[in-house]
Amino acid sequence: MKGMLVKDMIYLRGQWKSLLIMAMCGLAMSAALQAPSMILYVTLLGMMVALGTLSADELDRGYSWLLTLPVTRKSYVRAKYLFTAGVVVCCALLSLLVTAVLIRFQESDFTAADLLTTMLLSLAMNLFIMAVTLPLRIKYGSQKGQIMMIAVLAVLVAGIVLVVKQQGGTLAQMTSAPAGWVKAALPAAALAAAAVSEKISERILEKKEF
Amino acid sequence: MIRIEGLKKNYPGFALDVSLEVRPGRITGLIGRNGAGKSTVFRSVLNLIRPDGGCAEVFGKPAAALTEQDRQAVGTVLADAFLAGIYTVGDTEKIMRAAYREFDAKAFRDGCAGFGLDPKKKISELSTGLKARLKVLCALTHRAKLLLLDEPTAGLDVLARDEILSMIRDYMEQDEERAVLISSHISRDLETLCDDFYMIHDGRILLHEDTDRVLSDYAILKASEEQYAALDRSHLLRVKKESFGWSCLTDQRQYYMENYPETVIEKSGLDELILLMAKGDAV
Repeated sequence: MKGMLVKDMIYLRGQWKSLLIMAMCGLAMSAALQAPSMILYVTLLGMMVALGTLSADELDRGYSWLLTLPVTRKSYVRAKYLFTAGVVVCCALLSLLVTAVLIRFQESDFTAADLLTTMLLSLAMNLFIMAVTLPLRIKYGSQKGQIMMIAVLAVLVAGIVLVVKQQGGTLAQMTSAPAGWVKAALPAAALAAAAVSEKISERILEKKEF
Repeated sequence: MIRIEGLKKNYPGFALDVSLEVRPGRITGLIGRNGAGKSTVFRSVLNLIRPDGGCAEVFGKPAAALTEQDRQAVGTVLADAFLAGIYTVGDTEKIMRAAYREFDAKAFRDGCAGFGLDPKKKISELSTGLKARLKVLCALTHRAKLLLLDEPTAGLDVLARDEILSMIRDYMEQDEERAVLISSHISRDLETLCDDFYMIHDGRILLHEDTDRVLSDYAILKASEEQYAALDRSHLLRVKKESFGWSCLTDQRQYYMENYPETVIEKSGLDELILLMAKGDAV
């Protein structure tokens, strides 16, 4: 597993230009909007960059060679989840820190509690996306997997909008001021989804032939 | 080290059905033309594909049951797969170091320096020869007990091939318990390297023989129609109609030399053997 994590870290290091541009955009956004939206933005982009390791593994039939190393299919999948979740958490913490400093200098109305809530919801959202994306990318490959992911997310968003409409509220109300129980339940639900997703990905990879 | 028993794998238009064994201290060759099923055998042993029947065992365990610990002792070269070209030679070393407990970084670096492999160069920028050398270096620098080398010399010139074959020989000389399964469609490579070999054709093993015995006892008889009619055919393995008469493959060269001195008898190399085993008719 260590070999897989090192490989993914090297990939990430190779994306430093993208990461730098990403951070600059996040800073600009945060400064302009005076809102903790940078946390959402940076965390999501960090996850997308981390998912790029799957595309890299596919290049030059790399999967076949990687699976001849001292790694089982199960530990390959675990390493991939660990790495992606790790990048998401690091991006969330880093952007939280930067946003906190910026907001202090800008004398914004946002409190530390607002920032923490935003970070937790951002983590939850990204873990959900990871839970949906990774099994699809492992099963269908990067190109088909991305199309499938967009389709699944579109269905999910449509479902949420439908539920919100039936409840008589608006999507903005729900996302801007989530109820206390939602704030607590979402990260827990996201972790559970990631755990289930990891097991599904293990089974998908076990059945795959290279 | 490896025991394959009745291994079956079916693809549209191709069916593999093979049994073979690789013993400690031996370099075993798997020879056959492109598409014969060599890579499918390797992929089965490496658990990259699931067999439709039979079993492939490595270190006495089914290939699918090998642990990470077991895999530490296996070095692999795959004909058509390697680390993605976006990584550099130096990155490859870092990944190997993290993956294998017994990775010998000094041997790897010395090998790279000897081959002119620049650590900063991306794999995608390497020539075919340099990439092949890097693949072999990866397989040979973590003290593996078993090497699985699928076409490690494919696409290389004669000098580069010789260099890689020498590396494999040196590797075997360091420990008598090591074993190698190597495939090639270049029979000369295996002729000079292997202790024994399996000949695979259309997914079936046609022949298993010690290389020394092939080189000493196997021969091609080139007989006219009259000579062929008078031949004792009980020691002929395959025959093929030719413009001059018949080419006949035998594993009893001495017998025919003594009893049929008027017949042209040539030593059989692996190339001729493959041709006759694949294209000839059973007697």
